[in-house]
Amino acid sequence: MRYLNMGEERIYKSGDVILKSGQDEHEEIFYVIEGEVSLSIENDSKKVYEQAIVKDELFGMVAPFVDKKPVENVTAVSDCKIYVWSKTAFIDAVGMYQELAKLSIVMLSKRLRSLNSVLAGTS
Amino acid sequence: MDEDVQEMLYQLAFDEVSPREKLIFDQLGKHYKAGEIIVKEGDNSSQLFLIVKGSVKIVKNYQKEDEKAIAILSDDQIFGEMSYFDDMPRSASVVAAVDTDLLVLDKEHFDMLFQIHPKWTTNTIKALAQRIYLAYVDIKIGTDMLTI
Repeated sequence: MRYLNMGEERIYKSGDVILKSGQDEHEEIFYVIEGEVSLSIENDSKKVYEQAIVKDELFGMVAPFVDKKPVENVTAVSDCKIYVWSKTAFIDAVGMYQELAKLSIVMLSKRLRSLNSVLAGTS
Repeated sequence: MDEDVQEMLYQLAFDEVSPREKLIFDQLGKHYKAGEIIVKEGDNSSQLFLIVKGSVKIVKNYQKEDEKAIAILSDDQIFGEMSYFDDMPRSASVVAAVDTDLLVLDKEHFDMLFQIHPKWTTNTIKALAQRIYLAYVDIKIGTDMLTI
């Protein structure tokens, strides 16, 4: 994918915590090159929402764009190769590569549809 | 696309004109009375809307027994972008909460804005991120609060 530049590749082992709810300084956006991660939301240490994120999907976009700490946890459920952009680099990449722009918005739409179904009690 | 509309979209893309300008609104605007349905859940439309003035409610299962309001949006916010980008049916209904003025952008219009200036992409990402963040919080604390 030509838009996988302006950032860096990272390897995460199965079980590694990639993003932790409430962590400070989260300004990175992630793209799964290989492997699978799990996004979850917890209330009192109990999982109340969980979603698998797989190859060619993005995560970590929410907190940087709303300037808040992340609500979600993201953990590697297999050994993973992840591409990581800083927020600034991601905005530049989205401006340069329409396919990344479209992918980002489609991913966010998919996530919001899933969340709205949960909130409406229809999932 | 009409040349005048193209020119207006170009100016809109670069903030040379406000969505509130009469010229823009006359071409692309639409007024909705409070309570009017703007988007119907399950429809296959793909227009994108920019709130010029007013506010709208996003509602699941509108006018059914299990109706649930999941968000309220107001001035300068956009909606309808999900179906535009993922070609899926409308995931919820959108109803005017008060008398509301909207810019209604067809695929052609938004394609042009999207290509001209990256800020429309980042604004769309930001709008979706905001709604997802509030949904995350609602799920985390298990509330039925409307979010703005």
